[in-house]
Amino acid sequence: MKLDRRNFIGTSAAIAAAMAAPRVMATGKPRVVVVGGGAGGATAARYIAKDSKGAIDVTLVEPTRNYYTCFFSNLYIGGFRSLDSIGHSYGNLATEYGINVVHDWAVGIDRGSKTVTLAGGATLNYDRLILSPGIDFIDGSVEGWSINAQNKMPHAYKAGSQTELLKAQIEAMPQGGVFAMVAPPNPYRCPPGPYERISMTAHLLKASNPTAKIIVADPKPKFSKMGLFQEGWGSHYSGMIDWIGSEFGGGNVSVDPDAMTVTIDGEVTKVDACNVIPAMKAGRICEIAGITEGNWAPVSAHTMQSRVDENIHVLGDASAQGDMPKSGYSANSQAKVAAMAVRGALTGSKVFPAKFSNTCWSLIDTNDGVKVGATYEATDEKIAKIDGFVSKTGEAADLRKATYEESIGWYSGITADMFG
Amino acid sequence: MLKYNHKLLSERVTVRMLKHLFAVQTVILLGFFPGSVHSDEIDLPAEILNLDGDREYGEYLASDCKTCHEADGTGDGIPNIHGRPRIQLITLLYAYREKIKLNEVMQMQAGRLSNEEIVALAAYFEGLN
Ligand SMILES: Cc1cc2nc3c(=O)[nH]c(=O)nc-3n(C[C@H](O)[C@H](O)[C@H](O)COP(=O)(O)OP(=O)(O)OC[C@H]3O[C@@H](n4cnc5c(N)ncnc54)[C@H](O)[C@@H]3O)c2cc1C
Repeated sequence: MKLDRRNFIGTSAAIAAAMAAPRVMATGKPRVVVVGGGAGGATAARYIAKDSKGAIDVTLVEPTRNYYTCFFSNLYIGGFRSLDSIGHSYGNLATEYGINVVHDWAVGIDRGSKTVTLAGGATLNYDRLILSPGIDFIDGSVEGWSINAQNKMPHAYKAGSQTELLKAQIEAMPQGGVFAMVAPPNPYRCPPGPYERISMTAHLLKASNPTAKIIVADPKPKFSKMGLFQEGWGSHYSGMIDWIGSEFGGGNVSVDPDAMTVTIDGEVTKVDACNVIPAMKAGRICEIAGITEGNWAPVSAHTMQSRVDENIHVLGDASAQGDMPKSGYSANSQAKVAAMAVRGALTGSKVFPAKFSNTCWSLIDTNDGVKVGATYEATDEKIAKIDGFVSKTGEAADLRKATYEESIGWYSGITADMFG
Repeated sequence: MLKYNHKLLSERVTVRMLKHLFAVQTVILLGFFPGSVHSDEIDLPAEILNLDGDREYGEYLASDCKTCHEADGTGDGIPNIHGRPRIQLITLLYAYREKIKLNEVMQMQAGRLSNEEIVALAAYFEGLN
């Protein structure tokens, strides 16, 4: 069935028609459909609805009723946050901002007729479509692992039950057991994420299982905030973490989820818990829409519009935009630029030059926070970095504590900015 | 009336008007925000104070601030800046931009703001309660 408003009125009972009547009077209203209610999509939906003050009809399509943020999910593993504290519902977006929140999957996009088809069968019309579906994994990128093995060797790179499972498996390790991580190749969501996870896993094990070992097989020769993490691993978790970079065969890896073994450069290790973070690509709906080039969806830096279709904006992890890391902060920043561009195009509101920023905080151990950040501007070619900073090794403990406290403020700020 | 949380009430802002006749005002920056400063005093050019802030532009620029600075937050870790007097915000952003006040995120964010943009932001945030 086509759940377009006119059909709905035409085929439904009088009471439904009466309830929908005010909307019908406003059939001239431009329609925005947002696919994905995460860092990019929830922010974009909220800003468009809030700033257009009812002039734009906003529908947000998101399958889950509770969005668990990947950000701070490592802190849940470390025992610094509860799972509940990183879960958010869409209630405010619906009631306070008048957004039509539809809990369903987008399964088809027809760019010609400007429609989105949902798994439940409904079809939504749009004037502008915003895609912020996050990432999917590239099949076969880690030999021996497939999405069917995600319960034996969780990725925990989409937060929620996967994160819960990984934490439970770490906690169930025998004394002196082995935890392995297969780290992802670039580009992937949250460059410091795997290494913050190693830190939080070590923090958890240090308290309950101090003779446990952590092995990281990494296809990269270096990683984000590497000096800071390695300094912290040395001072907090001495002798516990063995990071094997590409120079030492860390990229030559396969796993056997049934046997619970990891083979790194020919050497087989029996493991007690294993976190496989495969290579990533844009959420599949971007491929379905036919707007990807390679693994990601290229966009214009000025507006986040797809290079393939100007009626579609792509935000966050799924987009190929230039210099910004794939982070929640970046997705939130890009969403505000896209929201302004969409309002400008649909209602003629004022459009200012795009500005972006990002900061990623990571926790290494209790009160030992570090951060990396940068500002960006739009060029015709890409989102280009202007300026940046990174925490320094050897910083004083009170500065590290202040950095951690700042990250708590950021978490509360960004989730309020996404969900109202 | 501007509303403050208890933390902000204890803060002192003193603007010594026209202390220097050559169009420079001295603003004393004491206990504004947690975090350290190189110096308690900064010279704020009068040209900044004389600018009119474009609140609409300020609102757009402010969307960047709101990722961290929550409207009704407790101010834990990151202070609440909504409804703060314009002079405080101008002083702070100027001090961060000139790297007089320490905090890498804020130095970076303020580092790309022009005088006009600082004043636009201050005018916008002052108008919020
Ligand atoms: C362990 C970890 C730690 C991290 N820590 C940080 C951090 O400290 N700071 C930071 O800034 N970032 C962090 N990140 C990165 C951050 O989570 C992502 O970059 C961010 O969520 C990207 O936002 P997005 O909108 O692109 O995707 P997401 O937030 O993943 O949102 C995508 C949404 O789209 C929905 N969706 C997908 N396909 C469809 C479809 N077909 N139809 C409908 N809905 C669909 C999904 O259900 C999902 O809710 C971390 C990530 C991980 C994994």
